[in-house]
Amino acid sequence: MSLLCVDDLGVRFRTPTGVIDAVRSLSFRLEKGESLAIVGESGSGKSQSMAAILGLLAENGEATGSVRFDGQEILNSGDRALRQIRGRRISIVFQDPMTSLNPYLSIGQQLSRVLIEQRNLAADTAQAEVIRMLDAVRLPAAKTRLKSFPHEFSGGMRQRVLIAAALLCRPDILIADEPTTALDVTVQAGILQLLRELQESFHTALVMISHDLAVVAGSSDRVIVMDRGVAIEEGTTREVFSQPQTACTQALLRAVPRLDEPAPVRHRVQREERPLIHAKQLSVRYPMPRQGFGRQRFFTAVRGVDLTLHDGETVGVVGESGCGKSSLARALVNRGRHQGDISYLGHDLIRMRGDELKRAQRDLQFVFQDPLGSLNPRMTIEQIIAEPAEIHRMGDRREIRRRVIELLERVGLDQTALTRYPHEFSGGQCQRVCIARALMSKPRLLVCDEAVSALDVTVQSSILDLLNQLQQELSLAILFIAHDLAVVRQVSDTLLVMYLGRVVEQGPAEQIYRSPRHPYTRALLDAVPVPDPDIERTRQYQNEDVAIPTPWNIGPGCSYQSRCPRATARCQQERPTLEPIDGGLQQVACFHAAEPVLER
Amino acid sequence: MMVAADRKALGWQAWYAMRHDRLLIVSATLLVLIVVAVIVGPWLTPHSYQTMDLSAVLISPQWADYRWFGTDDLGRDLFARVMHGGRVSLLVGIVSTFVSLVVGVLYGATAGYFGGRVDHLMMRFVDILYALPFMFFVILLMVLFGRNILLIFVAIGAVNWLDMARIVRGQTLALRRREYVEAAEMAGASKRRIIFRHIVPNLLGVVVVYATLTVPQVILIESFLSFIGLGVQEPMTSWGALVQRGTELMSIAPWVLVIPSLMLAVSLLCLNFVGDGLRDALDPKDGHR
Repeated sequence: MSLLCVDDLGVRFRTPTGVIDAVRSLSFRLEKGESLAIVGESGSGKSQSMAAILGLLAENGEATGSVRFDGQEILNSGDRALRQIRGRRISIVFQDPMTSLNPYLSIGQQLSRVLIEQRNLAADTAQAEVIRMLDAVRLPAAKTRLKSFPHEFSGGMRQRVLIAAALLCRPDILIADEPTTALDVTVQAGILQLLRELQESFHTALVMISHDLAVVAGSSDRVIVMDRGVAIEEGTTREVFSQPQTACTQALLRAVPRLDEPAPVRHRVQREERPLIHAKQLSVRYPMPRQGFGRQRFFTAVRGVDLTLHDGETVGVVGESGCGKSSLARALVNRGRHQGDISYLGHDLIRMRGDELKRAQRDLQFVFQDPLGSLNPRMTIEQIIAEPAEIHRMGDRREIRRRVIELLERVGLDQTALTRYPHEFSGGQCQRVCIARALMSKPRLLVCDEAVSALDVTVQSSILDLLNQLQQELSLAILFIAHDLAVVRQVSDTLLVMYLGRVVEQGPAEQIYRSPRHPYTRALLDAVPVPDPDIERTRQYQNEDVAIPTPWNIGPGCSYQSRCPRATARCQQERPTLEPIDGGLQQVACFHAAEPVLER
Repeated sequence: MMVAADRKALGWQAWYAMRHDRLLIVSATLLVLIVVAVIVGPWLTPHSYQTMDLSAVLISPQWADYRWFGTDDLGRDLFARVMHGGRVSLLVGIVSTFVSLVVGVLYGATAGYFGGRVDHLMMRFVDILYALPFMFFVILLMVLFGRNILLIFVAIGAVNWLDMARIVRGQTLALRRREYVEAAEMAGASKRRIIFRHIVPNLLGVVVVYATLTVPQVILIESFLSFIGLGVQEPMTSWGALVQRGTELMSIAPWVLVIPSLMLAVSLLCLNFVGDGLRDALDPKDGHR
């Protein structure tokens, strides 16, 4: 008898426009202690099927079929019966660790409440158990952090707390719904390894839901691939990865950019000698809330970065969240509080005003991370794309309309989109609209701030292809910002690695990927998951439990020294500057850069 | 969840959503009936709203002699008075709300969008006006300009826009951080354009709901002013004034209280339902939840 038997599960939603079949006849078995992955693009019904099993569907949803847990039918068995199971025997960890925690309660209160209510423990035994569990998920100094509130933790730490909360009642099944999608690669690697280890030590069955095959490669025994509500492929992880049967699985596998394979060949556009934009000693600092009548303090996000971009060139910027890459991007299009010099075609961008600035703004366009959020919900696609042309008075109505249609087709949407509203489109389609809008004013530089991070892997790769094509045709310069190194590699000529507001390594992209010299670059590269179960399973990622300095208390030495395996006394005293290495174009800010090349 | 949607303009979508909201349809129909009734009503009856007839005091509602709603203690025809009072009440409600809406939205959106010092100055001004006692303000106006129904509009509008401005400012502060506003700024859009094309349309939901809540509030304020003798003056009347008069005659002639109260209550209820329905219907995302 399997632990969980799902037979012919169907989920449908009644909407004003008709009935939608979100899941159709899904069947699978889950054994005790087994690890199952459900993979599919967004909208494929993977999350909804789990919600149906737990009775957590939205009000207009209904589930059909049969779900037996431990031999007992639980589908549609009512809230009261399910409450005996939810949290106690089946737990779930959601994607967003911030919204899953109550901001008004301390971690200790929230976690011990689970035990007091579900297992009727006394307050002090509950607290002891909570501390044990927080230690198990390797939350540093768990005992002292019980009184901390959710906002005092980083995203990765919050996810650890949530995993601890889910495991408190020793459930038989742990469901992890995109548990690492909102996290940095380095943090992701740590969480994935933690899940793997906890599953073994607690003998919990794990159901991992993800859109990214690489994420589940190392931690699952079996994989189910879903497409538009149907399970199209099922098999052991090794089978599915080595011999994918369906086109959809093959597409999912192909879409994952792999660091262990050669990068796609990039055709360089003929480069002009004169740089399009050149930033020198660029700094960005934000005022912090003043305390009483105290002195105004500043939070410095970017500390003296140099950056040059030519027509037709792509510069990639990578780093963990909070390293200042977005602030850098904004500064480059003259937004925010920045200091330093930015010369745009030889003119000082920072001191531009009026018409001159407006002309420059035409040439510098921006694509945001959240595609839906950057489109006004009350404007049609046509109005949205036409807006830059209207602002800059580029031709009459007919001419603008013609160009809107041309651009829509260029980004792969058809004319029917014109009169529709943003919410009628998927994330990938919205991002195409954003790109079309950015291209409307015929820019020379496109700044993409995490432009593909919120998208599914398959959509991600199609957007990257589009950007590459556009660059070829229009000889655009692109500043591409992402936290995912594998993605950046697909588009970049030059790479900048940032840590806490400083560039720690820069140079030709391929050279850095081949031989990273800074230990931080190395750590980032190591953290990228590979869609190959054999590699993922054997890999040991060092959990970094060290305190990462906050940007306002960096000591005098190298900012990375607290995490660096090579740190010496000198690193604590002196700050390394960017120095060319091997006499080439690659520059590294590390005293140990000349030591043997870090193995990849 | 994304659904394949048919191509429909916002107006069509709103209409589509509204057709399926029974409460909205019923309330809107009732409201339209009431509005039509108060416009054409006074012409349907041979009696005037102001002629007193001491031979026909306190007649209960009946078909004979066209006394559909009966008469009051001065022998004035109640049907004519209710219709006439409805004109005044609804006019005060709608015009004052409209005034406070326009002023409040513009003021609040400007303060919220510019932020910083501008916001500080503009909102402190609002705070100062808030501190002014409403009655004192009304009496001051009366003393300066004499009694006039127009003054009621001005007085109520001048007070109500303060709430609207505060609500709109709060919403704008949140909207201003949205990425589409930032995208427009980066494209070089003027501040005017951003306020009118990107901020104000997205305030619509809140504004509509608040406006429909304001209309009843204004009607009530007007009846209060009439009650203490600062509002409409006899023989002109309003629903509020009629209700007030009705309470005095409650024990001997209940219809004098019940009929205007019913009209007032039904209108206010309908306005609230219409407001709720409109907010849902005007939300472009609504058809797809």
